Amino acid sequence: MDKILRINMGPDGEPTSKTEPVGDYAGLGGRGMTSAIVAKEVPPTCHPLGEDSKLVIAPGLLGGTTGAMSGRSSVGCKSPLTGGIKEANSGGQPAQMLGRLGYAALVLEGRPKDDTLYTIRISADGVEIKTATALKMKGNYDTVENLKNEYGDKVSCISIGQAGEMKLIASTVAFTDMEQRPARHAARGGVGAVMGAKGVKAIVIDDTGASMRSPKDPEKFKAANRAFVDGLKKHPVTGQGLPAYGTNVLTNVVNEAGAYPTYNFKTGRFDGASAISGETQAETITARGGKATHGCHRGCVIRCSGIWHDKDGHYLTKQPEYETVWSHGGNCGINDLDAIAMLDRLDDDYGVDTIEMGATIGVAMEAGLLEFGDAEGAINLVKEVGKGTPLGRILGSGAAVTGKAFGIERVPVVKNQAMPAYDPRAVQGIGVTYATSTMGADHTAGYAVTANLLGVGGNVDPLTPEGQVELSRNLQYATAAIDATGMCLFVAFAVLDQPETFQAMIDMINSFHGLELTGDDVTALGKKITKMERDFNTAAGFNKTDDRLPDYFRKEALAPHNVTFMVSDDDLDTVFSDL
Amino acid sequence: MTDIDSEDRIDMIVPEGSHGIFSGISGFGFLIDAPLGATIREMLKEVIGLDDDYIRDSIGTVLYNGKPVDDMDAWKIGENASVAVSAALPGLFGAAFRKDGKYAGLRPACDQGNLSPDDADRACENGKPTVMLLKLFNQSERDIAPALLANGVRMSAENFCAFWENRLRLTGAGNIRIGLNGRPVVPEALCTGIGAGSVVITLQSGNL
Repeated sequence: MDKILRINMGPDGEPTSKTEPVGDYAGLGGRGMTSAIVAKEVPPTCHPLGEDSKLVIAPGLLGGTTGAMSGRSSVGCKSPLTGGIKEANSGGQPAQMLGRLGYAALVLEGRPKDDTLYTIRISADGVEIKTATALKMKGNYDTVENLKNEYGDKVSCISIGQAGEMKLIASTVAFTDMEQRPARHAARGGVGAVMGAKGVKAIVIDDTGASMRSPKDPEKFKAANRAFVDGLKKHPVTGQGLPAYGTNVLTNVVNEAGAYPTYNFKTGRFDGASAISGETQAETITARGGKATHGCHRGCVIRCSGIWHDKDGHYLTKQPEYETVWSHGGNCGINDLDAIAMLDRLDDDYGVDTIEMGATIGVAMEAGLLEFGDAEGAINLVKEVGKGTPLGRILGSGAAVTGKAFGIERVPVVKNQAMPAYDPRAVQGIGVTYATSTMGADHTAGYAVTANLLGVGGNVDPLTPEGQVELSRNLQYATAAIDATGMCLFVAFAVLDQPETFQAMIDMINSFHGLELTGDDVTALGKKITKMERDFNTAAGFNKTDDRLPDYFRKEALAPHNVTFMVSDDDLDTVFSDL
Repeated sequence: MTDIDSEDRIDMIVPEGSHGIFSGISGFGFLIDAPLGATIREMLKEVIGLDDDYIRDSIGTVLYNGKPVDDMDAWKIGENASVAVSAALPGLFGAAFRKDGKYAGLRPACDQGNLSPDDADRACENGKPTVMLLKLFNQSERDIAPALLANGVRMSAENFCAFWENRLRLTGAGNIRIGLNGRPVVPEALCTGIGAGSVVITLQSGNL
């Protein structure tokens, strides 16, 4: 992966492409690569959908290798949703293929002079750019089916649905999975709108003839990879809980703890939680002939995904994840797994973020457009987005826009991005991360609980407010570093508890690239990425008042434990005081 | 369903290996008779029958009335108690709510138990039977619920029917034989035949 592919969609005539050495970006991958390019090359005050904006797609440091769990793709840009820097990542096959073709990044630049849509095919033979008129306003599923007919069933695809074409700011970029279905998404922040603004409907990646990337020290890499896999398999979360139930294993417990945002964040418990839990979901999938344990890309050994069949036993969508089940389920008062799966399918097909759409429908319910619990009404609202009606365009622009359009105060967003499935009043440390993340409200921003392992990042007392703030900071650094590797964040559970697994992960990177990184270097990388992102946001006009939760989280006590968000603004302002 | 004091008996037989249709049932809550004042550890060992190794190694998160429990010896079973048991969970939430975990600071507050002086004053009440709600999630359900169901376990009729109707709607009951108070009943009619109180469910494997 020693080259960057740049495609300029803006010149007169046709789009042009050029390949250049990775240069100053050498040694970066995933989020490290996307944020570095955006921070250096995108004017912070530019319009996210304008000609100066860029969309960067990058595999991780171990993309295209035999390394386990290394198949994430990062998508970076200036977010049209938040106005700040954005990295959203996805599973699927494209990262492995891009890596094998030697690309450390793909950068879409410029803006077409008209509304012509294009497909881009990248292979060992080079780059081919074609108009894609026939794909106009097709959903991701139809789009990929067309591309499959044209290019065969061995390629992978990166595409946008109708929402991205309409430049709706809750739109996603879809990545095909092992079954060549567009079911994996870089979902957050409206990255699909930026791809749509570039006039790119789809990118087809054909790695025919390309081989797996070779490590600098093959034996050491092989041993480290084996130790890493062993560590993942023996850990109860990555070896047992996630494979058996998927991420939706969380529903019952988060609900029991009173941290499950329900009825648009009005209360922390949902009576229908057990009906949509991971336990119920897994059994339903199995009984219908789907798959309750399935990887989202080759090389995944956790396999927390799955395949959901409808009542007739036909494929409908991938197993909806915890965040999706929550956003369209408890948050909207819906306790019907089939309705939630249909909403997931529609979201994926139109190409909208399931978290953002669920939160948006919750706000619409609060506004009286429909009753909480109205599953059919929710499905119809999402269909409005796909059709591009005026109402659909408002909804497809996310919770913050919808809240403003309908005059609603209770809108659960930070930096205009909807909160995920943990109420910050019940899990205050997650609230600190929601408030201060460079990405807007994001549960994954502080997900990688590795920071204190082996003393990396210092030892803090997490029982004090100061410790809580410092913990969030260290978690955000650690997460940024893992996002740079291209590894699935779920590896964090095993490396949290098993020092030898953490070491194996570092050994994989070192033996592959011929490096001597230590745990402190990993933290330093995360800190460097975070600083780049914070500096970009500051230059884009963000200040400390953007690092806040909405007021009502301090004023409205959350049942059943009757807690409010209590971390002070002064404490929030210290989270990144070391940058 | 009108008699709130009623207790109906449901006997179910499914083919060997078909217990999966009951996945998620204990998330709706089992009603367990436990001695008032017993610690959570004592309840899990003496009432549910778990051993120390299982409690230490396989239980990742325990919630008492929705509050995370770090020390199972510091929490006593009170009136109307609800105890939820889960294996280790993913994510920042999972780390924060893990028993005795180093990321407990991410919670809003750390309750240290309910062994207050008031509890001690009520020691004379200790040992008196009480009915508590037990919820078993994910792997904990797979490990613990089969034995409870085989021996017969009580649920509120409302919660059982919420589980049962949802299961019928999603997948149907599959191959199963059901007896309600000793009389055969079809799956779809089960909840119309029981009272508003509680049910005792027994699940066995066998040839149908």
